[in-house]
Amino acid sequence: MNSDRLDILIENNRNIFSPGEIVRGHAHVRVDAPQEVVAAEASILWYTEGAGDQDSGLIFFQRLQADKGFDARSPIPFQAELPHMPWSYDGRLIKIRWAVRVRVFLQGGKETGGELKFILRPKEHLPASGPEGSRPTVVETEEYVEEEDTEAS
Amino acid sequence: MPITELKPSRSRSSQGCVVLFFGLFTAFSLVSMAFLIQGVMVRQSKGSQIVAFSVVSAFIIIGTGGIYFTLRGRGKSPEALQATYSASGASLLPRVKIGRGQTLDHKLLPDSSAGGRVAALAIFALLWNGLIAVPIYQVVTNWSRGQPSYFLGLFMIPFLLVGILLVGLLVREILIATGVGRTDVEISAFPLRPGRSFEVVFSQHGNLSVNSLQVKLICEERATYRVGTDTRTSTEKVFEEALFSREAFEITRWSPLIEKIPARIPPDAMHSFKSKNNQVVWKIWMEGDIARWPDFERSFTLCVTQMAGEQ
Repeated sequence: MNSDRLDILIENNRNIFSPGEIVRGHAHVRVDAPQEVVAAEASILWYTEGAGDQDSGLIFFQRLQADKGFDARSPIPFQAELPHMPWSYDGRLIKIRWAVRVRVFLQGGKETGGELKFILRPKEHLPASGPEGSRPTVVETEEYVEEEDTEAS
Repeated sequence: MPITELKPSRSRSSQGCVVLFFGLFTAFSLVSMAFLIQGVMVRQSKGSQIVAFSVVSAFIIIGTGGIYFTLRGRGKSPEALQATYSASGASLLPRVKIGRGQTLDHKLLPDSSAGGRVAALAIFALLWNGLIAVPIYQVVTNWSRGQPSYFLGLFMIPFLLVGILLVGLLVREILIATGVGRTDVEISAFPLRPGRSFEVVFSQHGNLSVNSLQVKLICEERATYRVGTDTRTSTEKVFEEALFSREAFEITRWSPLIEKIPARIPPDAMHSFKSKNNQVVWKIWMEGDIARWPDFERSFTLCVTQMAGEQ
């Protein structure tokens, strides 16, 4: 059974940022057959979670395509200056998350992806305890197949 | 933090269903147009033909537009669509009504005016009661003729109760608008910053015998979501601090209540936030319990933010 592995690494292993700082890093996708990768996308965005319908805002987006020279063995870079709002927020009805999101598109309409969350808050507004752990953990992601392909096979 | 796996961005089968729906819609509209062109409607008046052509043309536009927009987004991730079609730089702060103050620098305007509420309620009550007047009249007429309409009568009871409630609310709002004078709120800083203190000057006018009056600093979260075809909004108060409270006093036309009070946005507070479906709203909230008069509430939205480069 094939399994893909997606690494998203933020420079200096940071996961807490202040408004105006630069978040940069790269992602690596490890597939058994790199030639099967059609395209890869990296984005930096905020989105809401909770009771309300989801809203989101994109501050960085990049799509790399194999037919335009992208090699799946190469790192997928991302970089953006963070705006002064919205801050990461953990409310009762509403939560606001910031994340680096990477999607990898394979031949046959298959897709894999992952996101690495980080916190955006002014330094003086972070809780005293602070979030635990500053190193992103690499996990394996299973490739998933869209419904019609599964039915066809 | 660990990496979270993402769900597939778009299912081909769901896109296919949408394209099929709009395709059938367009096909049906084109067939209708073909019939119209062939002169099926020739016996109708020219006005009817124009209306029919307009309606069918609109359906064709809707159908082809639906197919186009669905196929345009085919194979694209939500981020790719957002990067291509969404306007960047939209403000994430709620709109605050503010003017120049007399005592302090900034005057907050109420979120809704008393006159506006009365007008809105009056229009709604008029429309509602106007709509139910005809069946109610029918029920009453039938009763007077000795031919009671039991089913229609029972069916109209809830509608009648809503109509009576609307009239009651309208009377209440008129009493508040005429009996409770205006409320003015001024603040020393705009926008406000988490952790920073500011001053509030408020004045309450009117001719009132006040049982209790409270002024509060409040933060609310509002989340809008869709359930089927319904759109619902949930609101929850996440912060409340009493700024002023007084009981058993009089306000006269010549002696309004004027108070200057300190306030502070908590240091770890979330800034004001407004997106399409989610909001974090800070406000000055006043509520009054008036003797022999309906209670009133007034709300003044604040803007709490932190500009780039500030610490």
